[in-house]
Amino acid sequence: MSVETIELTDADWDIERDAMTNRFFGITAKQFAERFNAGAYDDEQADGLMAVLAFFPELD
Amino acid sequence: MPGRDEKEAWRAFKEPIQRVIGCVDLSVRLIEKRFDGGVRILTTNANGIRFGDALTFSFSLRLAPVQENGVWRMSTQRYDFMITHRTEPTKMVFGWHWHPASKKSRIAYPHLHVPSALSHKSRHIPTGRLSLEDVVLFGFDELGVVPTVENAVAIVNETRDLHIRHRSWP
Repeated sequence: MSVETIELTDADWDIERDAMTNRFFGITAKQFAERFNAGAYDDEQADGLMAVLAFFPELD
Repeated sequence: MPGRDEKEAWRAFKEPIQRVIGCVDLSVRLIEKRFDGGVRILTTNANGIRFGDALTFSFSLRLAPVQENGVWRMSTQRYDFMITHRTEPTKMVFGWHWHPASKKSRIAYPHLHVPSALSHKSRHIPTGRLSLEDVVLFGFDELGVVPTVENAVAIVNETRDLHIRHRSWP
């Protein structure tokens, strides 16, 4: 008994990143990256930030 | 889990993970994304998976292929295991993190977050390196997660033992 894994295209990955940033911060992936690069997120904000960053290897 | 090439090593890594998740929820699909250098992310989707009556489980693993002594294996660069309230999907109950090369976090050791610890909610409680199997067994033992199959604990223990045999860390 096992589950499947689907390899995402770049376009599908973008959709998944949008879903992840929307879940935790209510914004798009593009908005998250812009805010992150502007220093908006504090490391001590535990809920969700590192989980979201897992989807952004270019940022972390 | 080693392989003769990068592709085989990837398959050998992810298949046990797929079995373990199948012990929790057979209706989900995991997702993977390949990046330059063969780096891959293996993760639940943004919604996570049902974990008992009231919780949701999400994980992500970032992995890189390495060749040692003529065989390939996938080396974990970063992990994130997160349990949240189902009705409040942004509210983390437990979060196990390891991100030793993070540019954002100053904490390089594996750690646990327990946000309900209130004023200490953002403290990084040290842990050893965890595997996905550890968190799933915690779910079975402590959180009321009902396995999808009768022999789920044996399956998860078997894949954990396999992981322990082939991992590069003690």
